[in-house]
Amino acid sequence: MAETIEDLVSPHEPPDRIPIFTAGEIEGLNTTPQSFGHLAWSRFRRHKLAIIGAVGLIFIVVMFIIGPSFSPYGFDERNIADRLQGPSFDHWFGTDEIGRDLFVRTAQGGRYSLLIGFLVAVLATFVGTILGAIAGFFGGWIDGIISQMINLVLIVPALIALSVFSKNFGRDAVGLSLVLAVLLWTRIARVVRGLVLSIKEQEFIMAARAAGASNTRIIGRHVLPNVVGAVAVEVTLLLGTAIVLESTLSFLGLGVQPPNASLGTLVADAKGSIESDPVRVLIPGFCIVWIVLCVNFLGDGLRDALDPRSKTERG
Amino acid sequence: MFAYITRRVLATIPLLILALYLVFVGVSLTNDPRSSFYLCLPRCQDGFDRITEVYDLDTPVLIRPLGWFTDAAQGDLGDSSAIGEPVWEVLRTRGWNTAMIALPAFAISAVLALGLSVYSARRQYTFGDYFFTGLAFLGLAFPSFVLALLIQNVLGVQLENWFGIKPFNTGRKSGDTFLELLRDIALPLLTLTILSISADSRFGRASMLETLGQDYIRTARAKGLSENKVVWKHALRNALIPLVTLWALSLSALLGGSIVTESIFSWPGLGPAFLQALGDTDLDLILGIVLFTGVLTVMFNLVADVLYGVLDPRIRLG
Repeated sequence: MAETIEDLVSPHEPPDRIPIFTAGEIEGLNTTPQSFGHLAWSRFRRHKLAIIGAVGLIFIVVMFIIGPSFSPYGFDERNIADRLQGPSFDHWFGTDEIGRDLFVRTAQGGRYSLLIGFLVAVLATFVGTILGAIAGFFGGWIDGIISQMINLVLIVPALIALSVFSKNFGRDAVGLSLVLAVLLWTRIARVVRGLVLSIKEQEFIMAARAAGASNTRIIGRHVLPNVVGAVAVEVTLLLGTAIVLESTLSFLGLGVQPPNASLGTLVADAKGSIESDPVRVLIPGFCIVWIVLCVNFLGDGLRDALDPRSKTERG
Repeated sequence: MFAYITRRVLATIPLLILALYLVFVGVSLTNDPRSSFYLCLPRCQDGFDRITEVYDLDTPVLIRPLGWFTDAAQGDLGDSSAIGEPVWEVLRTRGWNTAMIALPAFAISAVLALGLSVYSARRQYTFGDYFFTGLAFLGLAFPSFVLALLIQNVLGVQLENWFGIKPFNTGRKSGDTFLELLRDIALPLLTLTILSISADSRFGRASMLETLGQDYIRTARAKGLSENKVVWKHALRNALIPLVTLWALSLSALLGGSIVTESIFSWPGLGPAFLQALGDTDLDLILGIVLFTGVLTVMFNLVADVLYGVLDPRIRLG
């Protein structure tokens, strides 16, 4: 219990010294100003989930990249004598119907899934943010055209686009990523557009305009920083969505084609024997869950770190 | 408002036509119904000619869709070769089956997600928040096929007494009694609910937190309003705006048929029909489903935009 004023002010200081705060200290004016990047990094570092996500992601990426070199088996190497084995010391994740080592295949497939997800996220975010901000800010016929493009993409189902495009683009990582990005930029564009619609009606935009700022400056300096938090969350959701969508398409046989394999292909291969050997479905399945989980943790950390209005301390 | 809605509906018609046109041309360019006839050509000229006539293949591909549009404008969507019924009939029965799991899944997940996001935002960084946020993270990380396979294998196979032995593969039409129906839809419904609740509640929490940090909320608290009134009356309206977009998208996606979930549980909805149409290149059925899902998407987006204006009068519709 606090008995005296000294206890209230500073319980750990000797009572003979009553601290005197200047107005500057109370208002927090005496702290050295930090750049936005610095603040964001320090907030990010203190975000436990984000660190867990980053570590988990690095771990699985490293496993996917250097893991196969510990194994004597090749990605497409068949060994009929050893087919359909459960996990063992020789084959960490077991083998499939034609005796291919599933650990090596999982690593290879995981790499492929990550590559596609990353390409899609970068492409779709770039296009979606810019088009969404332009549509929301300028309104009028520009908004009309961009919104119609968004609606058009929403109407045409992903599977049709894929089955049509795959004839022309092939089904390698880049072609598949392009098609997925064309399908996925709309979500981020809609979110950004919605936010910008309400941001541009706020007073500080009017103030910037009154101060003579150009449209480019208002969008770049005043509007976009306010959507960065939402975009960061969306990017990670998008990276997750891209990996999930790619694996779903591969699961249905419409995405990555043999001889390449992604995590979705591996689940599809194992689906038939799920009752007798559920582990074979679970391993690639949980690899996807692991990746998406870590990516989303990262996004949560980014959201807290990049929001210009969130304070240095949580609360 | 009425003028706005009319204008929006009129504006979407060319969009739908463009989408259908692109699908028609795209599918026609990449699939040739006569491909199996080329090898035997001199002998099977009759069959070759019949296919040419049925699919109107002598017309250049860019104006071939006109025939379909003319029929569609008169209410004739053609016949599905993959299923062997008129496309209208397929859309009606399959759409109804899809709605049976889509609507409850949407309603349950929307209500629960809203409650969860308000709870998590009000008690940020408490145990409850961490727990539900963790669950949402986990649900969001599961691809639908992994979740569906897992639920089917655990609840449908390993614990077979709960839901009967693979009730969805027996081909039985959905339940004679309400309880049977409930048992049949339980597992796909569970899958869809888990999937949409995770996305909704995560987004809702972020949006609610954002709103609760605004100055006008501090004002509302400062003037002595109860916390309940602040949250449900002042904050909710603004926090709902991003959620409405998400709901519009997810409802139209759910009603358009969830391909993976319905296929894995052998639920005779629109999703498996679409896969079948795509596999057999059943152009009429593909176009019919695209038309159906397109109308749904456009409709719910319109509803979302109208709701924007209702929730935040500063957003002017025009």
